[in-house]
Amino acid sequence: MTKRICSLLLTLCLIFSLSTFAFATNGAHKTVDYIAQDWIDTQFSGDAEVSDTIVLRSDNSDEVVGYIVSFTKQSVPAGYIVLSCEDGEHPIIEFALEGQSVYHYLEQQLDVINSAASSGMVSSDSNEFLSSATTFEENVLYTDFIRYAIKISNGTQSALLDQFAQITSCSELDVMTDTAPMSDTFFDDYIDLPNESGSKTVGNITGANDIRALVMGDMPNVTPGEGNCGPTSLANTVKLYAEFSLNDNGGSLSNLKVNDSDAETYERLVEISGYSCGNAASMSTLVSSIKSFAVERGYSCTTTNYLLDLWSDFKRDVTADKPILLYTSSSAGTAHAQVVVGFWEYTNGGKYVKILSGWTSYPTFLKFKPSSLNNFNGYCVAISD
Amino acid sequence: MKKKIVPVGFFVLIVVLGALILFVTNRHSGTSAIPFVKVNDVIYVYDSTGYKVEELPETYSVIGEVIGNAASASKAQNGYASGLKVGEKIYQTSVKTDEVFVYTSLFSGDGTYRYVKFTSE
Repeated sequence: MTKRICSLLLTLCLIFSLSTFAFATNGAHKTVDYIAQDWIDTQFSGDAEVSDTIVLRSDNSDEVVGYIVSFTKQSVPAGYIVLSCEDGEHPIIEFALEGQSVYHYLEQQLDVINSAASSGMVSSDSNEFLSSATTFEENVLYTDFIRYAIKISNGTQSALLDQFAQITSCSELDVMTDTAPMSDTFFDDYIDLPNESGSKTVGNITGANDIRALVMGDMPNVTPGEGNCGPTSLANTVKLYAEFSLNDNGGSLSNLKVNDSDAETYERLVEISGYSCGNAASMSTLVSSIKSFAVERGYSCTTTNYLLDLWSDFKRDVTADKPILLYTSSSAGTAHAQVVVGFWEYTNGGKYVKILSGWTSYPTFLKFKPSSLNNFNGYCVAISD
Repeated sequence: MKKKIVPVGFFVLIVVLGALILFVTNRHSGTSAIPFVKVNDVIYVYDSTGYKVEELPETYSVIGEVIGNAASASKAQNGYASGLKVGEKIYQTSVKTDEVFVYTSLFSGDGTYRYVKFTSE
């Protein structure tokens, strides 16, 4: 009897762990309801609810490209999120915490278009309209909004862009900006230099104050403003080991860079991590990438994932001359990878990690596990010959 | 006695493994952060030297303000920014259009406002 009960329990546990794995790796953007509800609960402490979900489809293949999820709080419109199905980016690409969704205003515009079309004021050639919509070419999702608006008007109504602008008196941008009192706490606790009173303990890895750190925008083949923090962080970690005496066996690892070039090193790291330069990268991929890179360059590399991300973890490894890859993110979905190269600990309790942020060529600071961030995950990187 | 210990051990192991898998796989990426603002269809990124001044340089004047936050530069509309607050003013001079200054408290740590440079190159 005991055996049977144990077998039953084991089977249930196996099913549970397999389903857990499937859930966790299923790509968050494919679970719209889950993402939307989770995000709403985070923002409104559970007192808001989904009121409407719009599916956005590609005009050519009818493939689902995204969703607009609107929600209400006590029956009052309380904002929206736009979820993208594009691989390699966070699913929430736009949000507002109050007001109607973008779609609501598009509907209004569509009414105006339909009204104008019925009076013969606009063209009925949708291709002509879309090809002339150069303002929107760089903004695929917004183009899709318009395509969607055209589609739900039975695919027959459209307008030349200039006619569209005349009819509505404003572009969809002007309308949308009225609805965008958005906020994100992500940058709140990133600081140039802490300025607390009282004495402090300082720790730095070798080279922390001497490195001319690599900056995201200076890397090859990067579109300005796009996220390439992952490979930039790896390249900065390599630069530290290549230029300063961090090797356990003494000295620097002079052959670690590709052709002694930061740019070529970065490009190789991008190749290994499998991401285009314009994309952010997941930490698990980054960690495995730097291991592969180090081995490829003739060195060994071990990484330690801090399970609890304790202050003592960071202090211990900085003191041991080890750089730490750090992943941070806010509840709004903004995320960043950077390299910890030191710490400041005030006697009054203030704690800061010194980082190579990828935004500046010199180290700056970040409060330790601030409330503005809901992820603060460290991965110590040790490369040696 | 041994017969009981083995299944219970497996039970604990599987629960621990399941929790560990969930814990590890939850550590994933988001939209990569970089401070920027889009003005007149140009993306201006936080200057890598961290250049800031308390007084606005001569010849600079207001050309707009931040009107919203954008997660991705490629999808941002004019006036949208990352790392900046809605309402913060943007300044530019006609003789140097590859940079703008934004009056912002970004990275100050204590809310102090100053003019922070963003560059397009």
